[in-house]
Amino acid sequence: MRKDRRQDLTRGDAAIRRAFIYSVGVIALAGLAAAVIYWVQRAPEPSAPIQEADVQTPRLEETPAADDPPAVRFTDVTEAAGVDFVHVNGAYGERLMPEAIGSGAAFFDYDKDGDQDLFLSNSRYWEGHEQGAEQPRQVLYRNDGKGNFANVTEEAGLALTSYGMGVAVADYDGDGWRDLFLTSLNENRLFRNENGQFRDVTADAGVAGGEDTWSASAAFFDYDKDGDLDLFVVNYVKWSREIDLEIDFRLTGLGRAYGAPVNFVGTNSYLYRNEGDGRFTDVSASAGIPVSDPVSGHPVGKGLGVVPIDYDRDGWLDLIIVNDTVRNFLFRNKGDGSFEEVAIFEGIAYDRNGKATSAMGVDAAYFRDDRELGIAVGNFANEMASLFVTTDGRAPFVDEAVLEGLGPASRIPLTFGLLFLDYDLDGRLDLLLANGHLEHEIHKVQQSQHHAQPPSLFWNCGEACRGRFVPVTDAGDMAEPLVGRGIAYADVDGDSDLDVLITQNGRRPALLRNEQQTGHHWLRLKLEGLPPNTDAIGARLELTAGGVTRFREVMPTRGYLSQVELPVTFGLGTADKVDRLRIVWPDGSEQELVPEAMDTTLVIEQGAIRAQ
Amino acid sequence: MTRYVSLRAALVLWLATGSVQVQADALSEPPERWQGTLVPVAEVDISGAERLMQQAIAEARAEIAGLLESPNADPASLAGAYGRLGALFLLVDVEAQGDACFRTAGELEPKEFRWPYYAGHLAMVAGNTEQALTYLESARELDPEYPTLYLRLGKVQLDRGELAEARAALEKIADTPGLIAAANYYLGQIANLERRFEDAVARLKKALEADPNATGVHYPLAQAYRALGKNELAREHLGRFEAKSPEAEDPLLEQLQEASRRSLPAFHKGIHAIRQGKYATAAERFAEGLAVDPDNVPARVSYARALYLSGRAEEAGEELARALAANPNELLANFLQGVLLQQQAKPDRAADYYRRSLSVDPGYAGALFYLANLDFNAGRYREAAAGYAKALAADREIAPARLLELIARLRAGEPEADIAKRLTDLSAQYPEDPMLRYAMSRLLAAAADSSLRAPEQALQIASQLTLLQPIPPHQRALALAQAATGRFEEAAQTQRQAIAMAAWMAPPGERAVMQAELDAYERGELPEPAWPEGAPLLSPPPFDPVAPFRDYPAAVPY
Repeated sequence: MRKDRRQDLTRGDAAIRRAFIYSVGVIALAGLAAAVIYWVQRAPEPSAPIQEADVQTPRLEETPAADDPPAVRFTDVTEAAGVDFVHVNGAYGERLMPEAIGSGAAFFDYDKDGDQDLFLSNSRYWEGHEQGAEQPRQVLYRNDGKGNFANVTEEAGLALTSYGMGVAVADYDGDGWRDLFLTSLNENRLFRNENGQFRDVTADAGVAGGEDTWSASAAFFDYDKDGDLDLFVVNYVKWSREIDLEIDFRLTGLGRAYGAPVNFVGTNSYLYRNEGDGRFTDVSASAGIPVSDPVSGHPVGKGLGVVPIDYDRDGWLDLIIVNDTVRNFLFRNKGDGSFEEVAIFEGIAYDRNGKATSAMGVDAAYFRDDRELGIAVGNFANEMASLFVTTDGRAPFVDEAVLEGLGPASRIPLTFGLLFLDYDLDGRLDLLLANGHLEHEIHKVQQSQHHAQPPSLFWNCGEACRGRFVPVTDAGDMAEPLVGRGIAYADVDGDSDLDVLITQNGRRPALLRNEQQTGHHWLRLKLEGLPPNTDAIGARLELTAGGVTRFREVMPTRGYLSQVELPVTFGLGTADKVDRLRIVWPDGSEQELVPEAMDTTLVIEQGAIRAQ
Repeated sequence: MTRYVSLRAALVLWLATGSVQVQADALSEPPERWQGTLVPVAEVDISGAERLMQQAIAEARAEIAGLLESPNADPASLAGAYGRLGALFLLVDVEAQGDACFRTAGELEPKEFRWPYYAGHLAMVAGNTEQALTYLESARELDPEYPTLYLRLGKVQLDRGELAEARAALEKIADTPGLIAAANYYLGQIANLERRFEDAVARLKKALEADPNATGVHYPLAQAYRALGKNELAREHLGRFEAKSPEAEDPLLEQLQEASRRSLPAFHKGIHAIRQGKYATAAERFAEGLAVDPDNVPARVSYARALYLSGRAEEAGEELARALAANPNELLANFLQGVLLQQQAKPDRAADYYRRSLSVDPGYAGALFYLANLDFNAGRYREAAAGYAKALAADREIAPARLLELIARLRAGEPEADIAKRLTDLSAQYPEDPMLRYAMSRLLAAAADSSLRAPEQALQIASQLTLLQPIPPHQRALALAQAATGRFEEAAQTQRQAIAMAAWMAPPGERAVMQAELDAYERGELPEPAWPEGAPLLSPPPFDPVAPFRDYPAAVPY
C-alpha cells in the first residue's frame, strides 16, 4: 500500500545515523557562524515580483476525434532486433535500495549515420556477491537503420562497469558528435565522442560529483544562454549499505523490504556550467540549487526525474525536478545565472491534497495543442500520476489527472518513467507510463500489486471524450507485464512512427516496435543549430496543419533516467498539408517556413532547410 | 449505534485478556466444513508492525483457529473474529489479508453494515477505487443513514474523476456536524478542478471555519487565491499550510483505533512535531506512546531529545539514563548523554560516554568528532589528530575535521612542510571548502618555514575570500597576506577595518590578538604563527548542545 513509503507511517521513519555526518558539518559550520557572528551577511535581496503574462488562449478548430483509440499494436522485437542486454541490479537478498531503482536508456545517433542507436545503462553485482559471474557493463548498440542492433560497446570505448543509473546525451563541446553522460550510485562519468569513439573525460571536465553521491537523471541544457550546453544532475538520497541495513526497513506482511526514501536524508542536485573549453564548473550554490529544510538544515531533495522547459515563456529554460516522498521542485530561471525554487507557489510541489508524492519520472508538453502546459509525473503505487496543467496559459498549475482520465487508471500501478508521445501520428500527444513494483512478492499482501505490471498507454482523445486520456487496452505486446523503469522512444526502423524501449529492473528491456497502419501523415524534423549547440537542444517548434497549431521542444531529457531521440516527430493525422512551421532557436532567433513535403524527414539548419 | 459498540467492547475485552495459545494456523487452509464459505487468509511476515500489533495479530489468528476447530462455532462469532483480525490488518495496511477477513465476515454476516464499510475503507486506502466503490455501495444498501459513508463515497468518486457523483455525495453531508470540514474540503477541491475558484474559496473557508486545525486546507485555498490573482492571500495561506487534513467523525473507524493498544500513532505524531520544531508537543506525544510501550528504548531517546529541546534538560538526562539502563549499548543515548555532560562542563565524563558509543560502534562519527574536539581544546593534539582522522574515515563529509586534523598534527610537532603538502592535496580535492582556503592563505603568507611561503598566492586567495565574504576572519587573512607581500600600510588599514567590524562581538581575547596583529603591521612586522591558537576558523566549532539534540538523525526513532 502506498502508505508504506509515506512519512509518518513507518517504523523507520527517520533520517539515518550516518547522515548525522552531514549534520556535524552543519553543526560545525553553524558553530563557526556563531563564533564569528559578525559574518552576518547583508539581508537577501527581495525576490523579483512574478510577472504574470496575459496570454490569450487560441480557439481550436479541431474536429473532435472519435472516442475509441485506433487499432495500433506494438510488437516486442527485443531479441529479433539483436538487443540481448540484461540489466543486473546485483540483488542478493539484503534488499538494498539501489537494486530497485535502475536504470535508463538513450536513443541517439552516436555515429552520425542518420539512425538512432541505443545506449543501455547497467548496474552491477555488489562486491563480494558476484557468485562467479562476470561484472556486467554498459552497452551501446549500433542501429543499421532498419531496427537491427549490433553491440559495439567495446569498439566504442564504453565497456565500463559501474552501478549505473541514468544517461544524458548531447554534443556538449560543439564538435558535432553527441557525447554521453552516465550517472551512477557513485561517481558519474562523462564520455566525449571523438568520431564515434568515446573517451572518458570526467576528471578533466570536473563532473564526477561525489564518490558517495547517488545520481539519477541528468539533462544537458543551456541555462545561461551563452550558447553551450550546461549540465544538471539530479541527486537522490544519501545512501550507503550500512545506512540501509541499519534502518532495516520492513513492510508489514513482507518483512525486510526496499527502503522507503523517507528514511534517508536528502541531497542537493548539481548544476554544472559549461566553460566552453571542455571543463564544467559546479555553480549549484551560486545558482540557488540547494534547498534545505528550515528546521533540520538537511537537503530536502530526493530527486529522480528532471525535465527542462520554459514554463513561463520568458525565454529562459526552467527546471522541473520530481522528488521521491518530498515536494517537487520548480526552479524558475531568473535569467541572471540563478534560479528561484517556486514549486509550491506555482502549484506543482504537491498533489491535490497538498501531500508530497513518491514521484519518479516527469515529462512536460502542450498536450492540448493550445497554450496550456501540462506536466505529467509518474508516482508510486496507490498514488495516481499527476497532471499539472496551467490556468489560462500560466501558473498556477492545477492537478487535472482525475479530470483528464489519467488519475483513476494510474492509481494502482507503480509508475517510474512516463512520456508524452504521438504513437498514432494523429497529431495529439498521447501518454505512456512504465510500471513495475519494487517488491517481488508484493502481491502477497497487496492484492492489486504485482512486481511486473503492464505499461499504461493512454490515447489522447482530444476534446471528444470526458477524460482526454483514454486507456488503451489492446496494444499488443505493450500489454505484457514488465518491471518497467525508464522509457525512450525513437523511430528505430525508419518507418516514421515512434517505437518504444522500456527498461526493466533486473531483466532485459522491451523494445516495442510500433506497428501503426493508420495512414496518418507525419513530418519529422531534425534541427541543426549553430555550434556549440549543434542539435539545437532547447529549440521550440510550432507547426500549424489542419487548423491546429502544435507545440514541441527539442529536449531529449524526458521521463526517467533516459533520453529520447533528438528528431521531433509531428503526427499530422489526415491533414494534407502543413500551413506553417515556426522555429524559435535556442539563441532566440526565429525562423518561419512552409514545408512543401509531408511524410518525410526535414533537416533544418539554422537559416536553411533540406530534405533527408 | 449500539451494534457498533459491541465490536468495540469485544475488541477491548479481547485485547485485554492477554495471550491466546497460538495454534496451527487454520486460516490459510480452512477446515473442510468451512471451505467454500471462508476466504483463506495466508500467513504473512508481520515483523514490520509494532510489537503490540504483532502480538495482537497472532492472538487474533489463534482465536479464529480455535473457533474453526470448535464444533459449536456459530457464524456470528466467527464473523466477529474475522472482523477483528481484518481490523488489525487494516490498521497495519496489509490489504490482501484484511480484505479476505472482511469478505469472510461479510459472507458470514451478510446483513452487517460494518463489514462492507470496513472493506470499502480498506480498498480506498489501498487505492483500489473500483473495489472500494463496490463495497461502499453494498454498505449503502444496508444502511443509507450512516453519514460518513457519503464522505467515503464522495472521496472515492472524486478520485475516480466522477465529479458530479462526488459532488452529490458530499453535498449531502456538507452541513452535517462532524463532517462539515472534510466534506467542504473535497467540495473545494472539486471546484478548483473545475476552475470555479470563487466557489473553491467559499468551500475551503467553510472547511477551515469548521476545523481551524485542518491546516491542509490552506494549500488548495492558496491555489484558488493564486488562480484568482490574489497572490498575497495565496502566500499567506501557503505560509500556514501543513499537511493535516480535516478530521471527520467516523464512529466505526474510531472504535477500531481506540480498541487497539498502539504506540505507533503517538510516535508518528511525535516525529511529525519534531520536524516542525514543535518540541513540547513532540514530548507529549512520545510520553503518550511510551505509556503504552514503555520498553521502546529508541522512543525514549527521542522523548529525551524532545524534552531537551523544549527546555527540560534535566528530565532529558533522566530519560537518557533510563534508556541506557534498559540498553547500555544504545548508541544515540550514550552520545547524547555525553553531549549533556559536556554542556555541564564535565568533559571527562562526557568523554566517557563518547567512548562508550565507540565501544559499541568504533565508526560512530559523531562521538569521534566530539571526542577529538575535546582533545583539541585540551591541547592533546596527537589524540585529536587521530580522532579527526578516524572521524573522516567514517565519513569524509565532516568538513571541519579536514583542517582540524592538520592543525592538530602541526601542533603535535609534525613537519610544517608535510602539513603544507597535505593541505595542498586537500585543497585540490575540496576547492570549495572555505576553511581550507583560509588556512592555505595564512600558511602561504606566514609559514614558519619561509620556503613554504608564497605571498602573492596568499594574497590572491585572501582577496577572493574577502570578495566572496567580507567577514573579519577573511579580512585578517587579507591583512596578513598584504603584510607578507610587504604592504604593511595596506595590511594595517585592512586590519583596522576587521577590528572595527568585529569590535562589538569578538571576545576580548580575540580582540587583543587582533590588536597585537595590528601593532605588528604598524611596526612593519609579520605576526606569527600562521595558524594562531584561538582563531575561530582554526579551532573546533563552539560547543552547541542544541544542535546534536535537534539535528542528529536516528536510524530508528521508536
